[in-house]
Amino acid sequence: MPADDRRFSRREFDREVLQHLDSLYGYALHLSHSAEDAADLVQDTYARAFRSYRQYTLGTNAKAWLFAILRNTFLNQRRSIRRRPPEIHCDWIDELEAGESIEPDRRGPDPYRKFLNDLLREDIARALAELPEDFRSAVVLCDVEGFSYSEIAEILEVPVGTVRSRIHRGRSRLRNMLEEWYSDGRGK
Amino acid sequence: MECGFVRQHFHDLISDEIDDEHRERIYEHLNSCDSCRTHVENALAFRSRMQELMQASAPPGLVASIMQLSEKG
Repeated sequence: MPADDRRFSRREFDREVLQHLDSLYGYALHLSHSAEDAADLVQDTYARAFRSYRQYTLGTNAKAWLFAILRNTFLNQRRSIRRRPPEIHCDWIDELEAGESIEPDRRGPDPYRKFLNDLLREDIARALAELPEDFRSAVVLCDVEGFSYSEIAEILEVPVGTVRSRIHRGRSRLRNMLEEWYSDGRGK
Repeated sequence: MECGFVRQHFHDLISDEIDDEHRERIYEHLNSCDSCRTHVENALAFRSRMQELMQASAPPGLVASIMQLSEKG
């Protein structure tokens, strides 16, 4: 039997899928713009993933598979509930700060750098939120999560050419909104 | 001419979705064109900052409930 057809043990499966929890939560924040809805989305995603354990085989790209479940769950909920208009609140942006790595710096904490990081984080999050969901997903999956174009095509269920075009157009719009950060070196 | 080639492949270069031959041709040009080099450097630096700043940590309550789901099987 080829290695790829081997089933994971339940323990291996859990270990494989649980390592993507933080990333999934981050993507859910970008989709839902609500900490509460993002947590629900992630929970529904894992509930579906655990139910699908027996269909999971070694060699499946676990991260892409989970992200596809999460996005489908989001789109289904949005279709069925006719949710509120895309009003942009700020509480979800604070959730992103929780993931900021503490950079080892011999000079000690730098309040000015932290201040700039906070400003830039908020501006990027707001600019991403302004993008249509198709573009936002393509850019977040590529530039934040580091997925390849073919993995993104799998998650979004569109051809690679469409992924490429959404990333190009999404980035160009982001750049227009964030021009000040982009070109003056403060984004570095 | 080469600036146009960089523009054409710019986003694929930033995404690291470009073949070696194209990458080599672009980097050769960047050695001699300040404008294209700055453009590419800014885009790569911005992407890296965005990746760093957009990371999230699942809240403890969510982690606990997912662990419970996992234990239930």
